[in-house]
Amino acid sequence: MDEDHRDDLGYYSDPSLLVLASVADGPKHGHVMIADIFEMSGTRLGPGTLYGAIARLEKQKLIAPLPAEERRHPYRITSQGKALLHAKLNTLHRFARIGLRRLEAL
Amino acid sequence: MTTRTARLLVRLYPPPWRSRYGKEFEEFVVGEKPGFREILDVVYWAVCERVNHLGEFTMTNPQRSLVWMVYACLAAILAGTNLWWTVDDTPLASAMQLHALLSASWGAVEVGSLIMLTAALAAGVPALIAIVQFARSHRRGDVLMRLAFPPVIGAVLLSWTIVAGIQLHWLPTPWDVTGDWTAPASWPPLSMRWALSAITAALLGIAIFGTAVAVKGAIQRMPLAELELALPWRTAPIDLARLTRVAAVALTAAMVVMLAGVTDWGLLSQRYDSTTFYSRAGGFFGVPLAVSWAGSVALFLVAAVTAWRGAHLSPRPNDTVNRA
Repeated sequence: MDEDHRDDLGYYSDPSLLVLASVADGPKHGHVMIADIFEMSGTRLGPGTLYGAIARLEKQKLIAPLPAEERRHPYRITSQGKALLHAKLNTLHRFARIGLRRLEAL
Repeated sequence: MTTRTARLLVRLYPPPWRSRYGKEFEEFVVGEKPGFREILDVVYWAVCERVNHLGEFTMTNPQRSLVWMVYACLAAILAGTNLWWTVDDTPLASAMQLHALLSASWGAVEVGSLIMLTAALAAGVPALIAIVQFARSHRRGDVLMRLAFPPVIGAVLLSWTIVAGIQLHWLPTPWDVTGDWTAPASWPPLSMRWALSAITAALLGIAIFGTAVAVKGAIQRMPLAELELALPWRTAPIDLARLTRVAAVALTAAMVVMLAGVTDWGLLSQRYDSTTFYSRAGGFFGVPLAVSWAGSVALFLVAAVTAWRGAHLSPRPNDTVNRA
């Protein structure tokens, strides 16, 4: 799928969920998150959007900061974050499966 | 993007957000090399954060405790200043040499003020160093500016009284405006004494209230994690939260001693020299001594209650961080 069509399709763009999904396979800092999220969803988060999401997730204890590495500040997902991400992705998965099945029935 | 531009963008965010993410976000933005769209994104989210933080009072209990202690000290300074100038050059000052009990109650106020000074220095100096260290390492000019307010306004107040005193041969204090005494010929006319004393009183008010607001702002902008003082000659940092607890309890005790002393002093004064106490007009802006004394009692009461509030909020041993 090329980038132009992603906009037309209204790709998934909840910044908090994207950040959670990005750190699900291991700690990441901001620059890696932005690249990873773009690769994963086609969404390029702005710096303000990313840190807005990080601040919200940290406040909700869904992610936690790790010690800085050469002026980079990685974050890891917490157990609550994993549980929430799991529940959200299951919902999305069910929604996608049903939607696709209905499309196939046409 | 330059660090300077990134710093300007970070300053759009509210102080609590900056305290937590400011430095990290600044480094991130510089590394990200944002274009116009990204800058708009930062501005938009900064406005959102500003709206989210409107009216938010985010201080931990140790921070609140420090703030209440500052308020208590300021109230006590005001009360003590008023008491000292009220009694100075009156027959009641001489009466203290004749009556041991009157002298003892005045001595209690002096002892209380010494305890207050010790407690204030014990908690205040390390807290001040820690805040300055934090402000310098995080490049928080806003915190340093707030800390600079008390010495600056103090210098202004002092310069004003000294210069006016030298020029006019009279110290422009609200306690020397008028009274049941004849003003020396070298003093300025009464109307000028009223006007100049009003300026001093206004400066004093600005100094007290401005210091309260400025110091609270500086403490409020400092995250609790920074409330540790690392000293070069100590391996372990000083836990300011624990130090605050001890100082707050000592400060409360000092305020209670001063309140008891000044109350006792007033009751004994009216017993030994009720005419001077009730009739002599030499208090704040020429009010009777008794009224000026009552003002000091009220202020010491406020100081004692405020210090107790500070002690109550200070962390107890084994307390976890309590964000109110």
